[in-house]
Amino acid sequence: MRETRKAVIDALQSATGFMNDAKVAANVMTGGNISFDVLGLDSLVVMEVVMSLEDELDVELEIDVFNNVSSLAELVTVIDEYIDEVK
Amino acid sequence: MELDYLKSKDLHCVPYGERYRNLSEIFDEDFDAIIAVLAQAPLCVEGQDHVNSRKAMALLIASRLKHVRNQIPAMIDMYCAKLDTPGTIDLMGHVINPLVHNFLDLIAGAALTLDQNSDISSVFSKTNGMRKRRKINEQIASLQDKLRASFPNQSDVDIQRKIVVGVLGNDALCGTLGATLYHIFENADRMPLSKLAYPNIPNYSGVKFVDRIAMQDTVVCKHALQAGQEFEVKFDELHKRTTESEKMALFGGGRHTCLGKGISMDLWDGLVLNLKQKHIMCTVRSYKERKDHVFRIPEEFIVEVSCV
Repeated sequence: MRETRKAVIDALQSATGFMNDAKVAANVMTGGNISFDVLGLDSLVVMEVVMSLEDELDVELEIDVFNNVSSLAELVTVIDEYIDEVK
Repeated sequence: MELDYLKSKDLHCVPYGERYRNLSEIFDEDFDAIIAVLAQAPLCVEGQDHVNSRKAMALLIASRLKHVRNQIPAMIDMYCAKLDTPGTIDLMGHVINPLVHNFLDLIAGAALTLDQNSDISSVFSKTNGMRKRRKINEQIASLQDKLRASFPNQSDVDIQRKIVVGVLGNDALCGTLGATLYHIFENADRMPLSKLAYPNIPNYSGVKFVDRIAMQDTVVCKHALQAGQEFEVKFDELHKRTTESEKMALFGGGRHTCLGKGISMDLWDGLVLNLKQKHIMCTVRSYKERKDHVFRIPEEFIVEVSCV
């Protein structure tokens, strides 16, 4: 879970720069959550995040891992479940 | 109802090739093999490109038709003979997949070397991540290299058209035969194969839907669509359709109607004929469909063959 969370944060940061906001960064670095509503995730950003996660976690992901998730915490959970399912 | 959407001139196919080209440019990825093959697939292009590719694919299929038709009965006999021995059998692995692969090889006039791990039909899935897309490109490129070596006198476009047969046919046909037979066997109620009722047209589509995009504001079947809006024409209720033409929606409709419709029906008719001669029972022991955005395709279909 911790490895996945770090990978997701890094991938989102690389694609959106969301941690450049000090307040958001402090919240996330102390284990807090963030809603995707504020990140503006379009399909290209999602593909970029998925690409980063595939490399970092060494797993083949589908972009529908983003379906029905609305926050960092939910995405981490969904990816962990997906990895458990495919491995 | 599916046919009304498929025949609408205001709805075009989704430009899959163009989308791969965009992804390739944005992420600096090599999707050249995919883009080249999709350019030859009538299902993926419109306008004059569509007319040209459809004519070329129709000619390819027509040139193979007689040979394929001659081969179908023996091919079906060979794979279905595996149902003659009582015991448990993996119907997808030992009958349906190899039968379809052999069939597609015959149509393409080339060994496409497809197997259960072939991902080339998944090229249409919008949900693919980048790894899957790279894998598909590698598989198509590798197939292209193999076919180039086997047909040194044929052009790249001729080779790509052979691959189109595999891309469009593989998962669609494996899924359609697998899902249709599953529903027949599941409702067999301990009747022998010879006594079962087989639909005259496979009634569970291996293709869950086809994508369409509205080229202008339009209304189809009282459904208002805005220019640029994408829409999935779903095929999940074919078994409820009553008229012949509605059931034929399995093969699409309008200008994108499947060119393999006639020969695929020959395969289905041959399969039914063969199964109707078998006085054995097939009881479904396990059935599981692959997690797949586009295709309804069994990844596990185990039946118990027993004497009546």
